[in-house]
Amino acid sequence: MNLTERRSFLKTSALAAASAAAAARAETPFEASAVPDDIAWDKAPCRFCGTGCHVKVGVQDGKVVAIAGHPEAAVNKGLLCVKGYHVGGILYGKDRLTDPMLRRNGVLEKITWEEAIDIAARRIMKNPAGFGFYSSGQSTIPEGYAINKFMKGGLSNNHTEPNARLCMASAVTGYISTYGVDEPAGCYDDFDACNVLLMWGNNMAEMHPVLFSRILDRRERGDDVTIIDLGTRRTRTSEFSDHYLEFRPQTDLAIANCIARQLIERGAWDKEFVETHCAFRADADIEKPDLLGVAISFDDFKQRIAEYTPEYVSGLSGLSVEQLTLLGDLFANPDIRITSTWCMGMNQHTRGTAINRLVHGIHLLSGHFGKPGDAPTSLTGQPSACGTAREVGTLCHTLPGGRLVAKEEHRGECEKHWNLPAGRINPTPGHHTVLLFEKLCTPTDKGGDIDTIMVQVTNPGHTLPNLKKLYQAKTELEDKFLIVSDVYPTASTEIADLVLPAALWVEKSGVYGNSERRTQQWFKMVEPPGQAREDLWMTIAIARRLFELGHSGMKDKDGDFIFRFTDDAGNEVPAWDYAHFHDVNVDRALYEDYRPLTHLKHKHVAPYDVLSRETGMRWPVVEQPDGSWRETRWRFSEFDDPFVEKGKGIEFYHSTTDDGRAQIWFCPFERHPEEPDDEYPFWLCTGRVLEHWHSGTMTMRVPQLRGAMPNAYCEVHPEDAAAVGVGNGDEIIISTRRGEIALTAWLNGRGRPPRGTLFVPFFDEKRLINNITLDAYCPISKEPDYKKCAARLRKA
Amino acid sequence: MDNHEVETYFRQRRKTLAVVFLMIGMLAVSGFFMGMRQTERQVTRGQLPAAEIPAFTPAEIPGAPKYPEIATAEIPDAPKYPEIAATDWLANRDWKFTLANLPRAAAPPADLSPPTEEEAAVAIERRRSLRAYSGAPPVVPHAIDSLRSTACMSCHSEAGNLVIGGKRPPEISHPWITNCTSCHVPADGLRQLTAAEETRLHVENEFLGKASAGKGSRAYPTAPPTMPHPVWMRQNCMACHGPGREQAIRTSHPERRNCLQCHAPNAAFDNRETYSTNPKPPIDPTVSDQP
Repeated sequence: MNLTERRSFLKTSALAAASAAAAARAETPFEASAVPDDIAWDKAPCRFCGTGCHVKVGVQDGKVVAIAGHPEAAVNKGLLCVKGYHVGGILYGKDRLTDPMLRRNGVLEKITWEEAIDIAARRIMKNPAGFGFYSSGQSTIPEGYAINKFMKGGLSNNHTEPNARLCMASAVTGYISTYGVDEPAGCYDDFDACNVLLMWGNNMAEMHPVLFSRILDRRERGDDVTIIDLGTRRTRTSEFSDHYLEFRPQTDLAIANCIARQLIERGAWDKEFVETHCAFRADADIEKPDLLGVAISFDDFKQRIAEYTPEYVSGLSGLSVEQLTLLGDLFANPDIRITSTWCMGMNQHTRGTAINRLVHGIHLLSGHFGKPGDAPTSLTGQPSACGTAREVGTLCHTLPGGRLVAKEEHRGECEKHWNLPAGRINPTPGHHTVLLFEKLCTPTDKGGDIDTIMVQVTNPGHTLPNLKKLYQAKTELEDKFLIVSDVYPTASTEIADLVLPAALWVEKSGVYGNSERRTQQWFKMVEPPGQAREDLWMTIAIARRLFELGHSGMKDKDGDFIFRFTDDAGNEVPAWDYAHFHDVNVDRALYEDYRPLTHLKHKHVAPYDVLSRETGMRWPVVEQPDGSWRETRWRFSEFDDPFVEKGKGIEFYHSTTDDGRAQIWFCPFERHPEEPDDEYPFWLCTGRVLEHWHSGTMTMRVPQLRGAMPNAYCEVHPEDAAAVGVGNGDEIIISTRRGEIALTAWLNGRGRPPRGTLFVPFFDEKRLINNITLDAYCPISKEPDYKKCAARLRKA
Repeated sequence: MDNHEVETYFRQRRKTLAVVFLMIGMLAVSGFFMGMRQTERQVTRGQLPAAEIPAFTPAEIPGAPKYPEIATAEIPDAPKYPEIAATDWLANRDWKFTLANLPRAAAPPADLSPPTEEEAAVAIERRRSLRAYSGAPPVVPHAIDSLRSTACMSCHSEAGNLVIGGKRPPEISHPWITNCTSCHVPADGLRQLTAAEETRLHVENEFLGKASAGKGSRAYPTAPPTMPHPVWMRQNCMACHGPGREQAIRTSHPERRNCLQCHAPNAAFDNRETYSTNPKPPIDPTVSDQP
């Protein structure tokens, strides 16, 4: 059966938003059951990381009172981490934002929603091209879809970025330049099947603890599984691992090349797999690398990789020849299954795209691909970085479903789908995150072409690198305007001009997409506090106000408002009026409008009403002849992926070279732009901790989590500490070329960096390490490197 | 001497040989242990890398897991005062022997009269104070090893039958999960390290979790009470209801281990979703996909 016939099975008829207004709740066979203590339980994905744990939320008297794991949920099998168990507490911090506020004479004053929406709309109306919309990998799929339609389809403005640029962009470019299409081929089931788990700079025990426990539990039961931590500092993950391989920052590039070199040298590469399914590729000009590069021959590849001998790489990386040989032995062994995982260690990297390509490359070269347990899989840090930022495409160059603003055909498809006049979508990509905020912080007469940014569901005032330059500098510029929607006061609201109180997690309905292509849906369970409202409503209300002010982009081809929802009888529901926002399931309508757009790249997400009954489903989800819906665990593999042509075994059906092949890249080891030197002799690495999620806005309001980890610290090697005369708990000053920050030294603490390395978690808004981090980024993915910059240390 | 003669020789002198081998064996064993004794030179030698030093060795406990023998030579001395500033705080001999010599929990008293209302209230409050809600993982009320989970089980397993500060450490109720610190975090984690309270973000929280599962119901005064909470993550009933536990919920008949035989959980605690009735399609990798 060929691909075309396959596709004919799929339901291609789009469900228009207009007809999708029926409340899904009524169609759901499952009802929240009342247990003897009157707690009503409903399902939701966890609010925090990209693992996408399925949590049961217990509600009593209109408040969340308990959280439980769900033993049959495929992702977490009943287990949560400490953040997940305490996720209910994030709703009830005493300083929730409850009213819209406008800054007048430096002070935030309460205003009404009508005023707030009007102010935001008039700012945009004044200069639509100078407006930027900064959203999030925590935005729900309908929120992201509405932002995309509003900005790209309505305002003809591509300055929309998600904060996922700061965490997942390098993974995206890695996938696209290797397979031609974004997101992992494997899934979490690989953790149940692999013999080796190789973590590349990935402290999974703290950042994805539930997935890590899945592996540990297997080992505990006596399964054959070897856990390898390839890291730059000793962590909890290292302690659980069978091997801890400590390398010097940035040399992961050389290590990956060394593995490839050993495979070729030993003749241990999978010749059949490579000849049938792969091709070789490299950047045309290493000074100006791009996404697609140029084809190279195998001999060329072999020649370029030749210098990465274990001896040479040992000298670069600090790993011993034996350790490098161990890695070579593993990949050379066709009888074991190897799963590689990574997260920020590889993505937040000035060569983030390169290291992503190389890790995919050694899996392809060795044939450790496409079988359960054999997979290179990136893990996401946010609950819907995949679902919203990547699939809906809220990046400055993307359109829904893997489309690009630069492609006329893709723009045309979206314009048609949205019933917009041809040419409405701007063909030029907008500013990427770092550039967007740089333009906001640059005076208008000096090229700062962004004058207003709306921020939703994220905290750039805390999480952007080099904050003084990229965020705080805005306060000097009178004509710039910052709109921030959030749930608590944050470093972002601190200098915002207009603050909008948002509904959080189960105070609204939503759909998220996790790391393993799983789409998960939940319904609103409790009321938001005070005047807090849904981010989705804010976007629609601002669009409506612009419509009323006469912005022509807010009209479709027929002159209708671009966000048109109708009830069962076909009458328009004024969803922009909050009193009517819940008259229809706006989430469902937008999601079903979005769903057909996912088919182009074979990312068929499941229908809303199917998701409402499931603990999530992994796309592509295709309808079976019997009317049931089948998810896909392994993409590109014939045994599981319905889009692979029968008989091919493996098919990369979105290959960048249109021949079904994946690309094995050569990327050289290159030095970091800010390596330690005499003046700044330390590597400074930043990251997360188990108890806090990203900027800590939510988790720092939960007593159990704040108690366990009340503030940031700096991990220092005892000998480095002794050299500057500090002991455990002493105040130290860390400085970089961008400034300095006071912290407490922690010796032999939770993580143990080697000599010459410092580690600081970034969650603490009272100790903003991002004031001094580097804003250098990967030239392809534009993702900044938060993991490496040069620093020095002294006693306070 | 051919084979036959060799066999005959040994057969005849079997008893003598047995004594000789026994003596050699004893010499070898005692020599082995003598060799492990710490010499004066070794005592003053200083410390070994942390990786080589197990945290401690517990005393012989019936049924306890066997820990590897540790040569005492590997256990460094406690540092001297002048050395403290430059010393890694590793396991030392004093620490080792102190922990190993902790008393074991006594057998439960024969008298198991039910607690008074006040006693029960105190026990419930103590339990509540460590949890965000009934069913939440309790926070850890003591300092922990920030890096590893391995030490947890030395006290929190059935075998870790210690009494510390007059209390027996709670036993793990889900022993198959080994990454303890991914759910149980110290209530007051970095206090010893951190600067003054006012430099922290400190926001009150109004989350009100369900405090206690409450009591099960009884059909008649002597009937077995129903289980008032879900079983999930609490599969080891004896962790909370076994000998040496809070009297408020301690079983009066610990010898009967098939708890669910008499104490039924309410079906409503089966907190699972009702899945769609559509049959799940085959996703066995070995089965060819035929949509």
